Amino acid sequence: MSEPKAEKVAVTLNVNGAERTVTVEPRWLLSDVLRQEFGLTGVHIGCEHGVCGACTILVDGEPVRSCLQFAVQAEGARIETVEALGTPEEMDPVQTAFWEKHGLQCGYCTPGMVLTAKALLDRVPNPTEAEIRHALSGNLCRCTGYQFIVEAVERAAELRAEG
Amino acid sequence: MKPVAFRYHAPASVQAAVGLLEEAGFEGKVLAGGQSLVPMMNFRLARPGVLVDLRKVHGLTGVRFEAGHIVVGALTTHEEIFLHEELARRLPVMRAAAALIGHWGIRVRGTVGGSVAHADPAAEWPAVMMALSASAVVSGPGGEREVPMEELVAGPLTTTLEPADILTALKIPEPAAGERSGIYEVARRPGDFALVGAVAKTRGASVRLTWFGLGTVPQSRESERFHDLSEEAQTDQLTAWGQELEAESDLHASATWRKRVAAVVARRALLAAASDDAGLEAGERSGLHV
Ligand SMILES: Cc1cc2nc3c(=O)[nH]c(=O)nc-3n(C[C@H](O)[C@H](O)[C@H](O)COP(=O)(O)OP(=O)(O)OC[C@H]3O[C@@H](n4cnc5c(N)ncnc54)[C@H](O)[C@@H]3O)c2cc1C
Ligand code: FES
Ligand code: FES
Repeated sequence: MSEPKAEKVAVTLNVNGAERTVTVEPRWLLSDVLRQEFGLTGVHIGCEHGVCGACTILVDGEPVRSCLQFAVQAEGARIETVEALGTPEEMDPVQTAFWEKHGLQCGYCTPGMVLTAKALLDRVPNPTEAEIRHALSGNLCRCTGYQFIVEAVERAAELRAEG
Repeated sequence: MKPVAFRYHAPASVQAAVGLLEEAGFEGKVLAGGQSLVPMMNFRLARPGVLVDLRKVHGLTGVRFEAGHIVVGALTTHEEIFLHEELARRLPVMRAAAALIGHWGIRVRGTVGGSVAHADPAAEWPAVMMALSASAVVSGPGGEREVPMEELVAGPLTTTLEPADILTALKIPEPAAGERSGIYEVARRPGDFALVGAVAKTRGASVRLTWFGLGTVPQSRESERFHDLSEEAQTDQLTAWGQELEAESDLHASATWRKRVAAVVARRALLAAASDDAGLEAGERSGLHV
């Protein structure tokens, strides 16, 4: 089969509150474009077939797999990566809660976990344990055994309620 | 891995999309939510030369309640179906089925039309649509036509859609008075594809069951007088159906196991149909039972 020549196209993406036009091949995954063109290496790549959730980002506020989307498809959408969340000096409540509750070890799954947790808390401010487990079921962690992650999300709900 | 290079189009109308697909011939592929196609492209199991993305085509999302029918746009996502209050009220099995599909991040992007067109033997939507006697609304070079679900699914990952055909909607007959439906499946973990599952539709004594994750395509059985039978005779009937259905063996389960469990999931799908939420709550826990 003849492969079409790799043509590049311009695409304007709204990432973490700023618009930028980049030139991409249509086959470039959003995960790769965010990492390589935008330098957002908080987008972790685990499996590239939608199973692990490490590449989770928020698109229009909802968690999606950035490895299962081409950058050209994201034109006009509002993209958030973990880099948008907080700074080491001023962490997002979800990040503070993961830190307090030891919700991470190696940290590979963490950006996806944190973003999914944030999306959950935006929708359900005070989730039950079952709701937390259900929401996070698409994010795999090979280190923590999940219990501390669930506790971190419960803690994040408290911190957000305290304001 | 990364996909091979392709040409990308995002036309604004169904007609334009059909035209682009006609031009592309067997090189062309429709892109909907990408939750099945993109993984296959990342692993180069699919190498389309032209992708026709439907994201800019208007009128392909949402649920319409028409006289005699419920019409679900092909691009409606699993999540939109899950959250649709009126649909959940009129046809609760739609919410219960959506909840069983993958994970949040998958449901946000994946579409009902994409699932039906992909025809994975273990997918929920093809079986739900078959159980509900739905048809697919298809636009192609020759215009628009309606294809009953039974005629659409031709084999595992295979449909009778032509390369330039676009599935635009699923048309479900409005449930008759007293009609109820429910779904139940067994999976290793919540969100995994079903090892075996069933959708039940009942009305009075009559029952229609459609199994998925069992053979290469969803399979249905009907009985006009199922609920007139004694409980023992019902169990015998479900067991007999499980034994006569086509079943596949794979890495996850043997055909023998699947045939046995087919009777169990059918029984639980019937219980789901009798419940108010069509199996939603039972489904949320189903992954933990195995
Ligand atoms: C980790 C993971 C878990 C999953 N678990 C489940 C599960 O438990 N149950 C389940 O059912 N699914 C599951 N899926 C698949 C998911 O439901 C997909 O969304 C669905 O199968 C395909 O829909 P899509 O919109 O993403 O289609 P795409 O991936 O965009 O397309 C799939 C195929 O259908 C064709 N197509 C799409 N739309 C149309 C159309 N309108 N007209 C003509 N052809 C079209 C495409 O050309 C392609 O061949 C899972 C996926 C992942 C990655
Ligand atoms: S890298 Fe995207 S889900 Fe694993
Ligand atoms: S902390 Fe290591 S994978 Fe989750």
